[in-house]
This record gives sequence, C-alpha cells and structure tokens, in this order.
Amino acid sequence: MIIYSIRRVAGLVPILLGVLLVTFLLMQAIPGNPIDRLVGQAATADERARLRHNLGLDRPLAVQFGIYLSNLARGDLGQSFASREDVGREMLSRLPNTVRLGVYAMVIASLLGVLGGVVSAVWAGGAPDHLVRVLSVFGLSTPIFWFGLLLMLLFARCLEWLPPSGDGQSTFSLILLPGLGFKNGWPHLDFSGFAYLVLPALTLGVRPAAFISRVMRSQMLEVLSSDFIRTARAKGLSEWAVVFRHALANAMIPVVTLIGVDLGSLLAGSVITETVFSYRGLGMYTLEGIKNREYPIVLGTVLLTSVMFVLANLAVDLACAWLDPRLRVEGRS
Amino acid sequence: MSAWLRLFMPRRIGWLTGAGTVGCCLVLAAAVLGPSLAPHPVQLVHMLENVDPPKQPPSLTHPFGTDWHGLDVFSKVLWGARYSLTVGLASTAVSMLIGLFVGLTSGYFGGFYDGLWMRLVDVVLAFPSLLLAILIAASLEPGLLTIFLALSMVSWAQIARLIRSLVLSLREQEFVVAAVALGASHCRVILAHILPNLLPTLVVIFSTRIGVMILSEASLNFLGLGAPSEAPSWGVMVFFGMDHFNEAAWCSVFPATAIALTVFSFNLVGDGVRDALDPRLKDAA
Repeated sequence: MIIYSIRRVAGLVPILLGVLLVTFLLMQAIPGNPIDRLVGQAATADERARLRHNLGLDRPLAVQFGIYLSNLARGDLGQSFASREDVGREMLSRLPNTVRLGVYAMVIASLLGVLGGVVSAVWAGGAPDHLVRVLSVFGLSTPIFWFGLLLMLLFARCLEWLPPSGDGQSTFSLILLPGLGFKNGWPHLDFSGFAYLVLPALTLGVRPAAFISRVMRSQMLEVLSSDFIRTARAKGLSEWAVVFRHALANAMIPVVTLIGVDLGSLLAGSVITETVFSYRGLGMYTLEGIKNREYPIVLGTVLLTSVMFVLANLAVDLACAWLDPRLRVEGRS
Repeated sequence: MSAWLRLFMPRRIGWLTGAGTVGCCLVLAAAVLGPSLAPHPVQLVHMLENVDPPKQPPSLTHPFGTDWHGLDVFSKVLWGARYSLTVGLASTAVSMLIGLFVGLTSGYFGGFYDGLWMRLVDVVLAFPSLLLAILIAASLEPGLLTIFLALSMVSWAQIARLIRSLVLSLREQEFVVAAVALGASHCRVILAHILPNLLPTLVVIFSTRIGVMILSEASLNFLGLGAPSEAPSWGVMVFFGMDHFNEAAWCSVFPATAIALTVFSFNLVGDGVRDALDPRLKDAA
C-alpha cells in the first residue's frame, strides 16, 4: 500500500509539469499583450521596451518558463504585472472563500442527492421516483449561471432575504465553520458572512446533487434486491430500518467515491458561480487573470486548481485501493 | 435480441424519453427552419429604417419582447437554436472522432505509442474541463469556431480513455485473436472486428455528450469568451441581458429557458438511449 501510494504521488509530478507547460503556452497565444493593457496604445516604443525588459517578457519562452519553474520551486508564484501584488499571497487570501464555497456546496449536494436517490429507489416506478428523476435531469440541464440568477432574483431582489452578491468578508478566517472566525486574534462569533454563502453554495451544489441522486438511485435499487436485505425483511425489521440501517450503508460506497471526485470538479464550476455572485474567490481571480493577460495569476491559479483536482482524485483512488486490494494489483500491471 | 432492435422496441421507450424526443425534434426544426420562420430581423443592419422601441415587454407582435437594441427576442431565440446545435453537434462529433482514433489505436497497439497518448490524456484530465476550455477559448480570437475548438480539445480525452479500456478487453477476445491468426491486417482487425463492437457505446456517448456540450457552449459565452455581443447565441443573449436584468428580464429569461429545455430534452433522449443500449454505462455517463 505504501509503495502504491508513493508511486501514485510520484506519477503526479510530470502531469502537473505538463499542466503548467500547456497553460504557459496557451497564455502566450492569447491575442493582445500585457504591455498594451498596462501602458495603453499611446506609450512610446522605448517605454514599452523598458517595461517588457523589467517584466522579463523579452526573454525566450523557454527561459521565461524555466525562471517561473525555479521560482515556483522556492515557493514564489510571481507578482501581478499591474498591481505588483504577490500572486501567492493573493491566492492564499482567496483560497478559504473558494474552499468554503466548495465544501458547503458539496454538503448541500450530498444531502439532497442521497435523500433524492433513496426516495427514488424506495418508491421505484412511483410518482416520487418520477419526480426525483425529472428534477435530477433538470438539475443536470440547467446552466449554473441561470440557476444562480434565478435564485438571486427570488431571494435577493423579490424576497430580500439574502444579499445578492459579495462575500461578506469580515471576520472569516481559515476556519470552515460559518460564524466562527478570528477577530484581533480571538475566536469570534459572527454570522453575517453566512448569508453571503447560501445562494452561491446552493447554485454550485445543484449539479452534483442531481448526479449523486442518479447514482444513489441505481445503487440503492441494486442493494435493495440483494439477499441480505431479504433476510433483514424476513427477520421482521421495519422498512425504515431495512432502508436506513442496512441498505443505505452498502449503497453509499460508490457514492462517497463520487462525492470525492466531484469536490475537485466543483472548483472549476466555482468560476461561473463566483462570477455570477461577485464572490471573491479563486475562480474570479482566474478569470480576471485571463482577461488581463496576467500570466503569473493564471499560471498560479490553474496550478493550484489542478493540484487540488488531482489530489482529490488521488485521495479517492487511494481510499478505494485501501478498501479493495485488487485495485492495487491492477494498478501495477 | 440485438442492441439496435432493442432501441426501437416501442415498449422500451418510456414517456420521459418520448417527451425528450419531441423536444429534440422541436429544437432541430427551429435550427433548420428558424431563420425563415423568424418574424423579425435579428441584425442591426436591417433595422435602420424600421426600428422598434427597445426593451418592450412581451406582446402579440413580440412574443418574447424586444431587447436593448429593439430586436425581437423571439426571433433571436429561434436563430440561437441553429447556433447552439451547430456548436453542440460539431464539437461532440469532432471530440468523439479524436477520442475514437486515440482510444482505438493506443488500446490496440499498446507499448510506447499508448504510453505517449495516455500521458497526454492524463495532462488534459488533470485540468478541470471547464477551466481548460476557458483557457483555450481565451487564447483564440472570439467566435463560433473558437468555442467549437475549445470544447472539442477538452472533451476528447475522457472519450479516448473509455474507448481504450474497451479496446483493451476486446483485443483479447477469441474473435480478434482468430482474425489475427487468419492473417488479417491491423487496419482490418481494427475497422472490421473491433470498431463494430464499439458502436453501441459510441451511440451512448454521443447522445449523452450533446447536452453537456451545449451547456458548456452557453457557459463559455456567458463568461464573455465566445461570440461577439450581436451574435444570436443563447449564452451571449443571457450574458448581455444581465446588464438589463432589472428593467427587461425577458432578454435573458427566454434564451436561458431555451438552453435549459434543449439540454433537458437531449439528456432525456440520452438517458433513454443509454438504458436501451448499454445499461452498464448507467453510472459512467
């Protein structure tokens, strides 16, 4: 198991290098150049050349990439061209927001998805089943941005229950719990930030919820028809106990895998959700970077997102390999 | 009973799949006939003589209202069907062709060739797919072609990996071994013996991917990375309609509903096709 884990982790290094290289080359291809964005068209050729030299953009591409990698190895992600802000620090300050959004979206998705899947399987073929299935296909079909806009319209504009946008950044720290943060170094309770999280998390959670409910349904149907469930029923257990104590636990295994894998892809979905709600997270930072041709920002955020994405997949694989030794042997061949 | 026959057995088609099929036919009809059915022009050039007041609410003349230029939203939504379907179908087809080629050849030949392709697949899959599509779309000139290229270049990898895993097991089957023993060329083994066995899976992938592609197209356009503002694309209409959301919500409500209903129909049909042809893929799609 240890050798398997080491081999898997070592295999990630070339993949992430590939990710960086692809991102770097794509950024070079983006039309327009960062100098134009910084000084505008009016600047003289001399000023442009000086700026280009200062930013290191006049060196060959291979050298630029090499310098970036060697800085990266020292933990330096570079600075924004325009504001000269440290990209690593800015990313760190936004990361908790995105992680918090992703975790809450996943909690919502898991609750809704598992519940929907169980209801659908228990009443298979009946009205609740049809309802859940139609809702789940609809959840998979609705554009995220559209769902976000509808929620915003309903809860923020019409009912005025929740704030339409922003992140309520006040006392939130690295702590994931809403309401618990640090103020002047002391733990502090403040629920104002929570309201800003509800709509984005719900928006981001709809797709995975739909997906989880579909998988949960098919798993539950399979488990409910197995022998041990018949035994449980024959023992005279109530239907409630059969479903929740016996079937649910066994049907959950693939669903847990799915939840892990989806957590990674939620990070990408956050680009749209954060844009809709002007939520100050990594997704919005990436998009700003792309639009302003800020290479360091894009490389940094893409690397971080991909690392988290790949690590989530790895964690799921390792957990499966730990639970099922056959996978370790297959992975070796 | 062959897989193909099962697909067309009426009792297999539930009412959900039926509803999806009707929806798909309507969207297809709108895509083909839309421009000739559209009651009003959708380009500003034609508007100079005959300008309607902007931001009119839905009425009998303009069932979906008019947008901020005074263009008829209903006509634009009809035109948008052609745009979205073109991008959705073309990018699905192209990504499937690339994925099929890579999966077939690397699964069949194996070795160094396989290793090379699979490392590339690893890199592509290490990106969250929408993020890579955004990067590619941003690195090209905005337009229909860009969206199509970005979507095709992102989604081939997943298909290649799935096809490869199927080819790996098909390669060991007796009928393939027999064909090789009879002296069939690589090309013949791949095209005449392996490919036909992949067809049901390919149909399933195709029908389940179209919805995803249309949705991704809308998302890229929504982020402002695709077509220009005057293009009759549903995503673009929602994106620019947001600026006028408070006073003219219909500018984005109708195109967004069109996206949702189209993808909904395609997903319903995709589910039906998958259940009929390849129930094993139930969780994978």
